[in-house]
Amino acid sequence: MCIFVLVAGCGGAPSPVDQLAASQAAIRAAEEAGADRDPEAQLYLKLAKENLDKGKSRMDADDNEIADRALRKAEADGELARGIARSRTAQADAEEAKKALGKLKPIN
Amino acid sequence: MIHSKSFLVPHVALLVFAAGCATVPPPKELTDARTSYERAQGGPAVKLAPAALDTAKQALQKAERLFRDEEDTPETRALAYIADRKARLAEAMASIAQSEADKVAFEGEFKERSASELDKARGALQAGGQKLAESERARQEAEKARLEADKARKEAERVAAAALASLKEMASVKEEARGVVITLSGGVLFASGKSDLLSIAKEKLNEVYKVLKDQGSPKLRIEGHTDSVGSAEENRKLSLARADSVKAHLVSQGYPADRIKTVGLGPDRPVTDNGSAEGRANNRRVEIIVNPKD
Repeated sequence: MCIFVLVAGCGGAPSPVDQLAASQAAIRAAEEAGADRDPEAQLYLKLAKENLDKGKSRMDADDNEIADRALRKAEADGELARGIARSRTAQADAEEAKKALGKLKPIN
Repeated sequence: MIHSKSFLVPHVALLVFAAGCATVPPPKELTDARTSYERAQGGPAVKLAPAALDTAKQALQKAERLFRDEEDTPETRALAYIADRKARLAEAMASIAQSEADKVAFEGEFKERSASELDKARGALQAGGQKLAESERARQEAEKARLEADKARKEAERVAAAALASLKEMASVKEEARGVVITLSGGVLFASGKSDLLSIAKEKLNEVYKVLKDQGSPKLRIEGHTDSVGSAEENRKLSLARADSVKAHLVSQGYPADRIKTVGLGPDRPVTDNGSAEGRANNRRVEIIVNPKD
C-alpha cells in the first residue's frame, strides 16, 4: 500500500494546482451569487466544499489522481450552485417587475 | 420539428443501448446523469440554453464512453457526476434566461403602461388647468363687466344729477298734483311779444330735452302763460305760439312729437299778482308738465 502510494505520488499524475484554483474560484463565485441563501444551491455548495476538502487532503497525501477527480467534482458542484443561485435571483427580479406592473392601475 | 425530435429520441436510446451492452450495471452516478440530461433535454433548455445543454450532452457522452470502455471505475463515476451537474446547470441557465426574458417583458409593459398613465394624467392635468384658466377668465370678465356696468350707472347718475342741477339753475322744478312741473321763465325764452326762441333759450331747452330723453321721453304738456297786459285773446294766441315753439324745438332735437301736447292759456292762470313788474314777469312763463295727470 505504501509502495503504491509512493508510486502514485512520484510517477503518477502531477499535483492538480490549476484544478484546485479553478474549484476554489467556482465556490467563491457561487457564494458571491448568493448560493448560501437558497436551499438547493446550499446543497451543491456544501458538496462542492466537501469535494474541495477531499481534494486538498488527497493533494496533501500526494494522491493526485483522486485529488484531481474530487476537485473536478467540486468545480462542477460550485458551478451548479452558482447557476441555481443566479436563477433564484433572476426569478425574484422578474417577480418584482411583475409586482410593479400589478401595482399600476388596470388599463381602462 | 418532428424530424429533430425523432432524431433526438433514438439518439438518447443509442446512449442507453450502448450502456446496456456493458456487462456490469451502470453506477448510480451515471443513471442520475442520464435522468438529469433527459429531463433537461426535454425542457426549455433546448431553446433557452442550447450551449449549456450541449456541454451537458458532451459530458454525458464522455462518461458513457468511459463506462463502455472501462466499465464502472472511479473516473467513470466522476465523469457521470460531473455530467449530472452539467445537465442541472443547463436547466438553471434556461431558468435564468426565462426569468430575464420575463423581467424584460414586464418592465417593457410597465414602461409602456406607466407612460400611457402619465400621458393620461398629463392630459387630465392640462384639461383641468385649462378649465381652471377658463373659469378664472370668465370670472375676470364678469368682474370687469360688473365694474363697467357700475361705472356706466354712476356716470349716468352723475350726468342725470348734473342735468337736473343745470335744469334747476334755469327753471324751477316742482312736483304738483298735475305732475312734475318744469317752469321756464318767459323772459329767458322769448323777446317781448315774440314767439321765436332766443338762442340762449335753445341751449337751455337742450338741457331740458336731455333730462327728459334720459327719463324715457315721458308724455309732456307744454303750457304757455302770459301776464294780464294787453288783449287776453292775443295773449292766448301768443302763449300757444310760444308753447308750440318749445315743442318744435324739442322735436327738432329728437323728442317724439306725439308725446307732446301744447296749450296756450294766456293770462288765465297767473301764479302771482299782475300788479307789480316782478309779479308780471313771473306770470310770463312756459310750463312743461311731465306725465300730466289729466
